[in-house]
Amino acid sequence: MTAPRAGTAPRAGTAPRAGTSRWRLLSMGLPPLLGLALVVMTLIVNAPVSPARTQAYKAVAPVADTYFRQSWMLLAPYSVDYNGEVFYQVEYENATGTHTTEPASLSRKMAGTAREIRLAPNRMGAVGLYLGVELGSLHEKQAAVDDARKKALSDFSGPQNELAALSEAAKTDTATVLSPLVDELHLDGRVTRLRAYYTYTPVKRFDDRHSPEDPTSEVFTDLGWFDYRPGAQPWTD
Amino acid sequence: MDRLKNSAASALRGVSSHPKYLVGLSLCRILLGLSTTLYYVSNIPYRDFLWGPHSYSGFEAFKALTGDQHIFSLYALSDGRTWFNLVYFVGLAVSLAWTVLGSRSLTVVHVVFMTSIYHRNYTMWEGGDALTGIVLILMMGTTANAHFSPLAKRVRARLERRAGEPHLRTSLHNTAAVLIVFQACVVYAVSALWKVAAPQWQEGTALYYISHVWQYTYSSAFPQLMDSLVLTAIVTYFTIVVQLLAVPAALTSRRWFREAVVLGIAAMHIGIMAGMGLMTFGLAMMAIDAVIVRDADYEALLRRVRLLRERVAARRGDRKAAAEEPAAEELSAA
Repeated sequence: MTAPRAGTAPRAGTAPRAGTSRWRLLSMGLPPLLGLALVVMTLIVNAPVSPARTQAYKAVAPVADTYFRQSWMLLAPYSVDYNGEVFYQVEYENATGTHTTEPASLSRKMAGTAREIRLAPNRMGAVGLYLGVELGSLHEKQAAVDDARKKALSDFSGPQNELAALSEAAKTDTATVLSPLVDELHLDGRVTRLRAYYTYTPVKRFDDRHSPEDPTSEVFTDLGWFDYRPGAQPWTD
Repeated sequence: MDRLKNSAASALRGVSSHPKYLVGLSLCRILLGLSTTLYYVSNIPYRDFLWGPHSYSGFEAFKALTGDQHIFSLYALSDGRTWFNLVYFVGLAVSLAWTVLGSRSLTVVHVVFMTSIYHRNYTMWEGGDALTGIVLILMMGTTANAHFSPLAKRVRARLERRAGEPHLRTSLHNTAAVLIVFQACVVYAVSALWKVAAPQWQEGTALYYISHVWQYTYSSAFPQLMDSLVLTAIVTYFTIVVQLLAVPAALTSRRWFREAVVLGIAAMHIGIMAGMGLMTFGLAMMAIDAVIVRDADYEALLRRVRLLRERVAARRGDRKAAAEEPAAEELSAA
């Protein structure tokens, strides 16, 4: 069989050429079939929540959530309209007694670190955001526990245990991220404890944007005092 | 029955005879490669903290996660620092090599390294990472170095040789390219539909609120500009409109419409990069936008640029000749 001239396409609808066996041509259909399966999976993941979608989602979740993660709300339906921030305090002791530092923003410190090189921001800001989300989620969980308690539900130990586990995880994460920063502060004494809390500050409503009054911040979650973790991985070498 | 068979054969030939989206995929490779290389380079000083064996995102939990969910990651193979650094810097070198050369084998290796690093620490995931992960997997089936690569001539010659003849690789390439365009459509359609239903987007003030959240504000000019009622409304509605138009742009045969929409979307992403500092996200998004534009569109664009250049050169030549004329007359008079 002679090779066809470059750029010459066979006419549509003609019978297969002598050299192109039926099986070979059929094998060309394999990639489009796989593609169709991927299209169906993508549509299932992105479909609005419904009983049918929930059922179908179970079948595709192992692949979809691992390698084809779809989350395209991108600042919708509600654009972010508040500033969430994690603050920290350090307790240390020396010959003159026990001291506590003024609250400082961990989130802003991490965002500042991310923006050290303007054209190539690194991912440290994402870590600050993650901690904010983690601490913020405790507030919602606490509200759920309070709600269950108010309704005098006989079993609110489940949500309460979840809250305790989440709170411990948040303390561990915050201690691991915060301790290296505390090391860099070179405080005049031995660090004993750390404290972190999450504040919520709404953005001024659009109509009030020129008003001189700033919106007030609210402490959403207070992790309280927890252990300092010496020897944690520094932010940078 | 015969008609059905013939039309199926014709469709299969159509999808497997001529590779499409070659320019768009090459541009996609460069933009995505820039994004992943930037991801590696910008985090070099912080790599141990973010992904290392003693990272804040614990190694034991990560190892358990890879086992439970059957996730593959090279970083899970050892908790040694040397292994971690080896995987990180080889990943960086692969990313750079893929951006420049873009061969299919390099694409596969790049996918392994990028999937590994994304799974090492899921707490930092953002939309751009998810999109890069998906598009890279799809790009394993494509020829992404037919242009803008030192290997481009050789690759095009190979493609020319098998053009017109059904080939499994061509079928794989075209399917993967269409899937990337489909993914782009899904991203923009889903995002736009969520926005259309949202009050702050409906009233045209969403961008004002985003610009006043300091974590999303990269330039001080961004919140100042968004304080203007007219500007914030224009930018908010523009965002929704260009995202809504992405699907018709990918399907239409009207070149001017597709080019205008893709240009609008690219402008939106440049704005996101400059105003919000989401560099890797912006580059990844622009990478898939580049695939929406077809080869014929790029060829027409190139023709227009050439024509424009020729016209400018001709005008310059005319001016030069006009300037030289009096001088020549003076010279001859002398």
